[in-house]
Amino acid sequence: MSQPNQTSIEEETQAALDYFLKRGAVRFDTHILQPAGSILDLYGEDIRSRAFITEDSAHGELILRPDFTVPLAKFHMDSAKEVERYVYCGSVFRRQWPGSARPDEYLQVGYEMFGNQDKAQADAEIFYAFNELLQPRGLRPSTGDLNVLITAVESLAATDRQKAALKRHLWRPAKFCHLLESYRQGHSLSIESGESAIQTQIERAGAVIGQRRVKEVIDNVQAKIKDAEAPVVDSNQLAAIDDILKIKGTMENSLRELRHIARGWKGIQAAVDGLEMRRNELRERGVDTGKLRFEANYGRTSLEYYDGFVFGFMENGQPAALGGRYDFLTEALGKGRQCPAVGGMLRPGLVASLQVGDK
Amino acid sequence: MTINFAIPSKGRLAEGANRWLNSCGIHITNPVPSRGYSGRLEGELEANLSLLTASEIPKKLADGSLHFAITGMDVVRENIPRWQTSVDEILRLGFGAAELAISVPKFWIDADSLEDLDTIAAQFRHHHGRRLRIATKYTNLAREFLSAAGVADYQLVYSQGATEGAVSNHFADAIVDLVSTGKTLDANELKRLPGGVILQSEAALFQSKICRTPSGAKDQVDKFLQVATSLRN
Repeated sequence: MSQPNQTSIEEETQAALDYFLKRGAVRFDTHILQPAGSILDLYGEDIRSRAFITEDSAHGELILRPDFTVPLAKFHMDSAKEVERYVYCGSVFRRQWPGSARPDEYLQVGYEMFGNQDKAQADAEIFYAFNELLQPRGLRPSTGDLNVLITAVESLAATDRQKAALKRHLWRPAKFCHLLESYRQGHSLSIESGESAIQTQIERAGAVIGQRRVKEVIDNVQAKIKDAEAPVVDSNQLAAIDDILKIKGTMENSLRELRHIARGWKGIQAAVDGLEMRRNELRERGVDTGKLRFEANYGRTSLEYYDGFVFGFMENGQPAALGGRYDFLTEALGKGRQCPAVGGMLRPGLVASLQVGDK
Repeated sequence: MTINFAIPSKGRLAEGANRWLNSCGIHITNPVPSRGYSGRLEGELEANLSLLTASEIPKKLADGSLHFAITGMDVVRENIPRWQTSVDEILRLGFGAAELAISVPKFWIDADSLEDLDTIAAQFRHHHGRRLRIATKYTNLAREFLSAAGVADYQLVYSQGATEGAVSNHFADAIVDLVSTGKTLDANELKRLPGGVILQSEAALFQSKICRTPSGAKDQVDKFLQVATSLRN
C-alpha cells in the first residue's frame, strides 16, 4: 500500500469537515492533554496500556487525548442544549507495541449527535452521513446492533447476578462465552447458609481489613448460594443466544433470521422491531439494505463502548471509520442522567491511503 | 570488545547467581566486598561484570548494554514490553523461586476464583463509587493477566515494596505480589485467590537479542552455554 502524502490527507480532512458542517454540525474543540480521572474510570485499567498518561503537580494525572467522545459528551451534557450535532477534528494518541507499524498519533474527524429521542431516525441519519461521504471513496460499510444481544441477556431466565455478569462482559466475547457455558452446567457450593452461620465463618476466616465491609461479603455469599440453587438457565434460550451470535449476512437476511428466533422468544421482539425501524429509516434514505452487510456480533471487540446500532468501514484490517450508539457511556458520565448519543469518527489518513492505492 | 554480564547486586538472587557461576567454573574478581558494583568474571567465561538491582537488569538487556544477565523471570516479563522480541531466556537456574499471585483478605470467604473477584470488583464499584484497588509493583503483568481473565472494574495502585501491608494500611483492597512461603501473607491476614497465580518465577540466565556477541568471544560463549546447559541435565 502506498503512503498518502500530507496534501491528500489534508484534503480528505477538509472535505470531511466541510461535509459535516454542511449537515448542521457545530465545531467542537478540546485540549490535547485531558484530565485522566473520568477517562480512566470509564474505560478501566486496560486504557492505561494503550494511552499516554502523564502528570503534573497542579492537575494530577493527565492523559493524551485517546478520543474526543468523552470530552465532547461531557461538554454537551454540561450545556443547556437539547439536540445538537457536533463535528471535531484533531489528533488522538495510542501507544503501540514494539514492532508495530501503526502510528501512535493519528487524525480523527468526528460527527456526533446528542439528545435526539427518535433513536432509529438519529442512527440512520449518522450512518447515512458517513456512508454518503465514504462509499464514493471506495469504502464499504458493515453494520450491527448490540441492542439485540443486550435485550436477549436482559430477558434471559437467569438470576440477576448472572445477567449482570453477562452484561458487564458483553464486550469481552471470550469471557461472555465462558459465562454462558458455566450457566449451562450449573454448579454446587459447599457453604453453610443463614446469615449468622455465614457471619461466624467470616469471623473465623480472618481479621476485617481494607474497605470492603462484612455486610458486602455476607450479601455476596447469599447471592452465590442463590445462584447455585437456581435451576440451570433454559437451554433453549442459551441456544437462541448462540444463534443470534452466528447471524452474519445482509441486513435483510439477518432481520429475517432474527424474526424467526423472536417467534420462539418474545423477550427479544422489541429489539428486533428496533432493528426493523432502523432498516426502514435507511431504506427511506435510499440505502440498499438487501446488500448492506450486517453481523449480530459486530462491534463487540473494537467498539467497546457502543451499545446499540453500530457501523464501520474497514481498510486493510484497520477501521477507516467507526460509529454507533453509546447511551451507556453518557449515562455513566452523567451519573445516571440519560442523554441519547450516536456518532462516529473517520481517519483521514486511512481514507487517503485508499485513494492512493486506487490510482 | 568484551562481554558485558550482569547479576543482581544483593539478596537471594545475588547469592544464587554467585553460586551458580562458580558451579560453571566462573569466578568473580575484584569487586570491593559489599561496596563494589562492578568487577570481572574469570575462568570459563571472561567478561565485565555489573552488579545491578534485579529490576534494572531487563532494560539494560533490552537496550543492548548487556550481553548476558542473571535475574528473575518476573522482572524481565514486567519491565520489557513483548520481552521475547529483545531477550532470550536461555536457562532457568532453579533458585529464587516464587509465585506471582493475587491475594485477597482472608475474611472474603466468597472469593474462590477469578470469576468471584470480578463479581466482587463490580459490587465494590457499585457500593463504594470507585474501583477496587489492587496494589502491586507488577502493574504490567497484573493488568495483562486480569484483562485476559476478564476481570473488570478494578484499579491498580503502584506499590514499591511491603505490598503485603497495603490492605491493612488502607492503601488497597487486594494485592498482586511475589509469594514464596506464604508466611508474610498469613501474618497480614491475606490468602491466595484460587486461580490467581500469574507466574511461577525463578532466576534465569538471559541473553540480549539486541547486543550481538563480539566475534572474538564467540567460541568462549558457545562453550559457556554448553557447560551451563549440561549442568541442568
